[in-house]
Amino acid sequence: MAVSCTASSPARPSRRESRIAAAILLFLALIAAAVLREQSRPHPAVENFLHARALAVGTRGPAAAGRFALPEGTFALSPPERFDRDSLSEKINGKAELYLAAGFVRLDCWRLGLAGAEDSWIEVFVYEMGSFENAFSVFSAQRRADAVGLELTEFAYAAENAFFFVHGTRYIELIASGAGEPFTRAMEAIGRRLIAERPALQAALTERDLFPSEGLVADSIRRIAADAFGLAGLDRVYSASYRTDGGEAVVFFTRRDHPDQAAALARSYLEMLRAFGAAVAPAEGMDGAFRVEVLDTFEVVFTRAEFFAGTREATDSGLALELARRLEKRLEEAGHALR
Amino acid sequence: MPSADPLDRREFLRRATRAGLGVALAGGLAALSFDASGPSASPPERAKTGLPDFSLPQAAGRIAVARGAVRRETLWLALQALGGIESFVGRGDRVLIKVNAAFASPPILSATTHPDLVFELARLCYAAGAASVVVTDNPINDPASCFALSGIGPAARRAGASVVLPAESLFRPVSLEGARLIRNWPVLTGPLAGITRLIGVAPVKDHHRSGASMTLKNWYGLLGGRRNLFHQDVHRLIAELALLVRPTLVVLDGTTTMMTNGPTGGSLSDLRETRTLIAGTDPVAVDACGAELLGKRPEDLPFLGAAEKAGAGTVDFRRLSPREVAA
Repeated sequence: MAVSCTASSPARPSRRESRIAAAILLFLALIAAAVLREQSRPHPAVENFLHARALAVGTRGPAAAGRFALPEGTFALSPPERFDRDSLSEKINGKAELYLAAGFVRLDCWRLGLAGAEDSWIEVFVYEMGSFENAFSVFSAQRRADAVGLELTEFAYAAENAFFFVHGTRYIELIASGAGEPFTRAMEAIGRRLIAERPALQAALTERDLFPSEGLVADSIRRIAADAFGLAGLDRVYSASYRTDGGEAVVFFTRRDHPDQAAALARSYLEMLRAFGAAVAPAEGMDGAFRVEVLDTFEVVFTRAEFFAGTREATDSGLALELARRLEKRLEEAGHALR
Repeated sequence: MPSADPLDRREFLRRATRAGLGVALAGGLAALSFDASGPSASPPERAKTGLPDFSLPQAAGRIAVARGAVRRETLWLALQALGGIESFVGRGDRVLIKVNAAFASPPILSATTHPDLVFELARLCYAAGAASVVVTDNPINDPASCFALSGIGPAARRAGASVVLPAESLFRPVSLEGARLIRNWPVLTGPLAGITRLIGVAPVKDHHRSGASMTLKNWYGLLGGRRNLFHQDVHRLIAELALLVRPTLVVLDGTTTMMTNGPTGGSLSDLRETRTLIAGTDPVAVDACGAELLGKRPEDLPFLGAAEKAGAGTVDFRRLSPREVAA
């Protein structure tokens, strides 16, 4: 029997033909489904390779830094670099946390060679910190013990091979590959050029006036940006060292937005000290203040309006109380001026 | 309109059979070429810890402390106290020296392995019969600049060693069994291919995040990718690195110690002349000993306790009876 497959005379396929055709279509569909399934599940080795390649190349290639007209006698030794919050650790590794906690925005770097001096260079680090206070935080946190004051800006010092200073909202480091007069001369020229090219408002450290002057160790004022004294949430703290005939101590204060916040911080701080085995008792002669004895040192802490303040690491309990009283007086005197 | 040729039953069955055979043949070939296991994610030579174990059982638990200001002298003295370089490197050995070349900074800042040590160590390895010496690291900054400006590259080449800079093709994912951080993470394994001895050489430095950077933290330089993520849990990471990397020998350079503002430093004021070089086969013990140069106790550095607990070595370095020698 002939089977007609023409459009004009469609013939009904036999049941057997239909079954064969259906089986073939089903088989093809199964193959297609299997292919699609395997394609959607790359082998772990392929995934690992692609992941590793992406990671291995993901950290390179800092962006170019801003323009900087080089002082006479220097030349660019390598391309300028720029790092942001995500890439800062590619430049300074573990120290990045210090800057990030203090409000870091970006870092521009240049490495400059000294003309006529082979293997002599100076690396320039310009950290944009977003505010003068943030820049002062990282400046003061890293202040070197044998620092020599510089006249570049109000907050500037030199070490044997480096200059460190705050300029407006920027913290700037000039680090030389060696020590000596040619390096010092070049760093001074670079520093002055950076200041001239990047005008900044002169900022004042008004908090400096809140520290009692007697016994204050010169240049010891620090601003701790975050987690001061090991307490999470205790940020924007100013501290300074004191040295008197009666011993040594540290004076600190932080100003919050509201007195309740200052009181809450004080409670948290005392709780932390108690957890470390500190003995806490009301301080004699200071309303609402607490005297703390911990690890053979003495502290007196208190709150006044928006301020949480006190003394710590005092070698003598009398000194801790005396400095706390003087600080309390300064805060009360200057408090209204700061409002 | 002309119609198509009629298809008789015989013709239909012939064509259907051909199509079926074609499909069956294609499917059969696919089935034959199908690799159910797929390519291996880990080469057969991978050790249990994720990397080969380069430690020498016969030299386990040795530590020596050499005092002096000249690195080449103190290195030699420390190695002699440990039985000589020949105790660790023999004829035909292929040696990898893992330096700390993290930053493009000059040797005087002590932020990187001192080039004098690199030169002397490579020279001693060759003198002991090493077939090859390779120096490598995956620095934080641009690798070429780091090796050049730190002086490590020129020193290595002067001693006849080759310098391997990290390239994409030299990384592959590695997992450390039981680890929480080092899992499927890119590691600089390329330079380890064919290596028979691994030596770590690092300076003693303060570290803002981990408290200290010494021989254990030095293995951080074998990691690729966005490894800065690990800084959030840096003590655990260092402990895992201590398990991942089992070196033949480590050398900790405390001739000059970076006491503050680490790991970059930047000022000579950050440094102190501590005139000490520690060498040993237990990196945990070596680092515990080196912590004293920073004025720290092992308890101040949680990664040491974690590494000891994980079985990577002992914090109680005095139990190993360190050999003390002076130039």
